[in-house]
Amino acid sequence: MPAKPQDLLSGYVEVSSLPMMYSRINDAIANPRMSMGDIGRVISEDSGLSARLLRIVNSAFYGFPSKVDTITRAVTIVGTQQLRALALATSVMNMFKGIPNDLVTMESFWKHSVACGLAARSLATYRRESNSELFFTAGILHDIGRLILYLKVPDLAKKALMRSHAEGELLFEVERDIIGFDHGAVGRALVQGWKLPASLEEVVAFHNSPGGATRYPIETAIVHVADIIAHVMMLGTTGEQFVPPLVSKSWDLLGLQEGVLAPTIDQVEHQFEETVELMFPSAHA
Amino acid sequence: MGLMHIDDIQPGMKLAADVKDQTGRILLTAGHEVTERHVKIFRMWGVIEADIEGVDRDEISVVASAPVDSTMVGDVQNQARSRFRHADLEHPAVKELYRLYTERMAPPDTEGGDRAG
Repeated sequence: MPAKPQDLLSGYVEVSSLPMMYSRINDAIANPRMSMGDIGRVISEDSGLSARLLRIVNSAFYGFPSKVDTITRAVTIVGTQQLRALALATSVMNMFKGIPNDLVTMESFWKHSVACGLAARSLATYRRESNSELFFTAGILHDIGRLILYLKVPDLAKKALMRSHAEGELLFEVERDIIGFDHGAVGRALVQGWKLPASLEEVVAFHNSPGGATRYPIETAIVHVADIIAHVMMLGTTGEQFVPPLVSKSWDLLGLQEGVLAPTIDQVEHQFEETVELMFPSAHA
Repeated sequence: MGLMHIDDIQPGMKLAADVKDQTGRILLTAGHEVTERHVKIFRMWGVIEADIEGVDRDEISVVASAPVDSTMVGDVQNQARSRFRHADLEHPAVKELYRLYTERMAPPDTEGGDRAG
């Protein structure tokens, strides 16, 4: 049994750092002398990433009336912070693409993640949060720790999956029991290693027990609810088969009416197929 | 006032609040009467609902939930109970999600409800 989540990541080269490109985009955005055109040029150097971003910007995800055909234009219309969040989401999904995993299909895993990301983005819009793309990315990443569990301790992870099925228990609780910590803790260690914003770290760590979030309770509550919505919609799973319990305090914190749930589900439904196709092209192949 | 789904919004209804797109840009301000063209534009910008004057959200949800519940097949209900076994069905948000789940799972021919009432 691993002693702490970090043990699963040490020496794991494939996932130890984010693609170079992401830190280059980061540097470009942080540099006040870089214009939007310069940032566009940096992104354009990675033709695969540029193509993926342009497909997203031209999809139902945004629903712009006319075609956006260059990255420079995409930067202007969508914004630098927003484009960076999307670049992060697609880079991470791309990173895990070639890694085989027998416990849950990658298709199912990312479908749940995309559904959660879309729901989080939609809820964020209802709350008039400024960078809703960041919530999309947080939703994409929320269960990333589970992927590490499946890859690094497949026997323990399988045991947890089987017990949760046989006993009807919540998977994250069984994980804590069998592995010593849950996928949230592993995801947190991973995100920490990638030096991503602290808000993402808290969301990933506490989306199942949002009371633990001290600095970013709103962000965490949004992904907590989005995760539940994704489970209700039954679009793929990362291993959990039950609708996770809603933490009442976190729901109250958001100040949303129950009336937003139906339109949120409609909106996710509307964007889901196309977004899955865009973010993870092989899912439908 | 109450939130109404875009499918249920009819020309002539009056907005109780501004309608904004995903980025927060205002498409039509409160107090305007909605026309067919407005609804088309709302759809184009991904708007899915609007706050309409004189609509009570509770009334809508009662009407919407009645037909599905009464004809719900036992299978769907059992499945729903199992999936929601860790959820608190007394909580209003969870209750709504449970309703939406069964609505999604129910066979299409039981969806005869008139949402707008």
